[in-house]
Amino acid sequence: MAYTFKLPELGEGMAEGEISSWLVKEGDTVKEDDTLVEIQNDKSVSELPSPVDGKVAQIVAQEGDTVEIGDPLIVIDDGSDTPPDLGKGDAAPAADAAPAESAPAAPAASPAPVAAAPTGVPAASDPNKLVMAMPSVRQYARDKGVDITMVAPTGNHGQVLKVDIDNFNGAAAPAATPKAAASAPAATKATGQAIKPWNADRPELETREPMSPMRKIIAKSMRASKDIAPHVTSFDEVEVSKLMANRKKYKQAAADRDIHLTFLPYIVKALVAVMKDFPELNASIDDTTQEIVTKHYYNIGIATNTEHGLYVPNIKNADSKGMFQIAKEISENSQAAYDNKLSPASMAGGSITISNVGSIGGGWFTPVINQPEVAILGVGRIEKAPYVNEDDQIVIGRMLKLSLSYDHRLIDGALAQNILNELKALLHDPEMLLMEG
Amino acid sequence: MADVEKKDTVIVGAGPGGYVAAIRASELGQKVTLIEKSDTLGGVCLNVGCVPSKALIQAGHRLEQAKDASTYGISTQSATIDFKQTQQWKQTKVVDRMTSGVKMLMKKHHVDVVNGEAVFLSDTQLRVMPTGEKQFMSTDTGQTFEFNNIIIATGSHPIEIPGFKFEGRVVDSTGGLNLPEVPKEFVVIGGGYVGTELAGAYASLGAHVTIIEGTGSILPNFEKDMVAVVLKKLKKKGVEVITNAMAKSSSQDDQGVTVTYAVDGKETTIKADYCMVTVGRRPNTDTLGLEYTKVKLDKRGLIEVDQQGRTASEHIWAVGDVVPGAALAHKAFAEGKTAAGAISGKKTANDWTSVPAVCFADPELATVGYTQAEAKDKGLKVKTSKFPFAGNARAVSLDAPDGFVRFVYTDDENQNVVGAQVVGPEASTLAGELSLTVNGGMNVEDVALTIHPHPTLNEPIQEAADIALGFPTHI
Repeated sequence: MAYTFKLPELGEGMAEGEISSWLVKEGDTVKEDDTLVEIQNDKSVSELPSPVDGKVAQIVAQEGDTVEIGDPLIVIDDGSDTPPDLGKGDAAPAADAAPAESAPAAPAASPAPVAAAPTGVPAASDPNKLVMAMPSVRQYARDKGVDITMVAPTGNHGQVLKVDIDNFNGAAAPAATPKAAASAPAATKATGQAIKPWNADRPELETREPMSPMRKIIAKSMRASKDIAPHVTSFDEVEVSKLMANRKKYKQAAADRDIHLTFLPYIVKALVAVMKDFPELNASIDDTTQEIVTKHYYNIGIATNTEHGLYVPNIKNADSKGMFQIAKEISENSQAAYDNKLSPASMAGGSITISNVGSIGGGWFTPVINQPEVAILGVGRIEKAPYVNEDDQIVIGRMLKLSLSYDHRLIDGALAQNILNELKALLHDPEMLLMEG
Repeated sequence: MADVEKKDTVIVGAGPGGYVAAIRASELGQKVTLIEKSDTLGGVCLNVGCVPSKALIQAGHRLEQAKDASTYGISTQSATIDFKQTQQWKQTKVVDRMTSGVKMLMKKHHVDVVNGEAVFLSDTQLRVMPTGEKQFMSTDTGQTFEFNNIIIATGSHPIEIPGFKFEGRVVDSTGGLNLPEVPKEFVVIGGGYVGTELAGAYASLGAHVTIIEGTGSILPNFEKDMVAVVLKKLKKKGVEVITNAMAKSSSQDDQGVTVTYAVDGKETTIKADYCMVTVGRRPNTDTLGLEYTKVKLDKRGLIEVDQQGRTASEHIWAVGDVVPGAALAHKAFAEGKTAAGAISGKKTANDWTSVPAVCFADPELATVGYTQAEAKDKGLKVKTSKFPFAGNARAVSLDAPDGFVRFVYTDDENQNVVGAQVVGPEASTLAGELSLTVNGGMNVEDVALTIHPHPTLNEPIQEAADIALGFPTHI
């Protein structure tokens, strides 16, 4: 009688998402490819189209629910004989457990070999870990959906307290195994600080509203990045009259091809050239193995601000693309971001990120690294200022402000300055880009 | 065929797992139907298990004391026992009272009790067939129920071994509890919990008992130093314990039963009045029609469930002896509550941080959480501390100085208690405090700083904690 639509794979490494909103309700008639639902995860919002024609029989996952791949979302009556299948997608892998026949002591922690439906109770990520906690605190953790084996205890002799459950932010406890850390690369450290409520003296002069899911995601990833990477930011500026002239010269040619040529493609090109000379800039640190991962691809992310959140789509393989192509893709990506249509893949696998506040008049600032990258380039406005040129004349220079935040675990100050120096040389004399690029 | 009756929550089996699930489900607002095939509620535990066996053990202790109280300067005439009256007391004053108590609880919680045998038709329907004589003598062909959720709590039954068919003088634990007389000669095959408890009870009641155990020791699930205390007492009672023995065959006539067993290939026979076989239990999952559902069974016929008791079929749950883990009533109680809560959408989960196990041997044994060996298997570095009842005034005044209390605690600055064992007087009762200690995540200092009443059998717990801290008091 019905087709059960389950959460499909949305992209690499994305195992779950939150139901952002349903665009249909029970009883609605839907056609194949009509958009049914918006799913949000830590990188994007995806719209899922209906795979069949039919009538919505039941909405299984509600707005705000977190669903995993394979979880049933909606049952659509498509006239088929198939019964609704509300079973959960992937059964938890059965832990090896062979309790002895009528063993008197603790029955081996019951494995979860079967899971016909989501329990809402988190499974212990480490069933063998000794957790010291009052039974009521363990139940409290279940009620809050917290895997207590992940919680850092603050009580006497290692007791997990109720407040520890409240303060748990999804980060693994310091003593967690490397395995746990790997599954949560954006959070390797538990914050021991207690979360304090905001107490207002005059609450009537304030208003409160819940954080949107996107705001929560941004807050969480920004905080995680600052936790993971010791940030240093180097400020510099470069005179870009020639760059401006070049852009002016080719702007029309670009427009003829329906392309909007901004300064960003130049910066993308220049960054690729710099990264080839300084591979440290195109790297990540694997904390679980203490290894430096150097990337041999050049995917340059452009931070894109929209009214529904901040996204970083990247230009794939920018080293193999021409300026017009890069300009075109930047426009396409930002349009997709505005339309909430970015695919998870378009945001995955970045090398470095460019954050441009110059277009809205910004100057120097201290951008936060987009994990797991190791640097982010902040681009400020271009400003007229006195400039001593190569001929020792004071002229009116066009000064572009650059702010490079880098992960000091991998990049030291001198290296960062050398990187900035090369970047400046390329932006000052864009013809060099032809040579390098 | 009769119409399909719609039900909210159906529970199959009114033993500890089932009736407790029924109470909790009802308390949470579910409309509960409880199906039981026997005429009485309470399952094996109340009818033919934990409860009546405690009654016989108690009768045995009374008789022993009545026979010889000379230690206390009391001289008694030769005490005698009317075992029929003992059995009647056990049935009417203990078992019937407890099972009718369950009946009353079901009434109080508006649980609809249906007598019959349940067979699944699908993942959402089952049929209840009349049991016993009605099955053949009436036109009642049963009733089909369609349920929102169902909890399987059908329990387990004793395992029969080749050569020892349960009939006449060869009995299972149920028959062993209901012997019409105290046997002169009693053979118990299988020295686990049930075998050792009843062997001790009948020895106290005057039987000469032989335990034939297949492994190297009786009570193989308890540690050697604990079992040694029980063995000493069994020897004093005249119980013979034969280990590494294979029960081969039995033959019986009006006079008795002849049991043949072999040790190292050498066969021996014993003539006895009764032979009780207690070698383990098997889950009651084979005649439920589970093949018509998505429910999955493991190799031993146990139902696979998740941490809430949910089977591979979304609305079918299972608790107690039919799921993996120890076949213990208190584990079934906990699982029943968990499943009932999960059906109501509560975020419950079975938590095996400390499941106590107790055995009413003489003296009693109890273990909570990890033993030293289990803790090591889990990768924990642990130490133990042990205090003997011989150093406890109350135990000495009870003339029960044998045994000890042991803590298993982490070998670090935390000294967290991860397990405890007791063998000795009232070990079963002491297990309660020890369960709270382990389950509450306390350390030995928490116990040592808790003032225990004097003079009681609980004091050795505090004393063992003192020893762990390095400041032994009464030793």
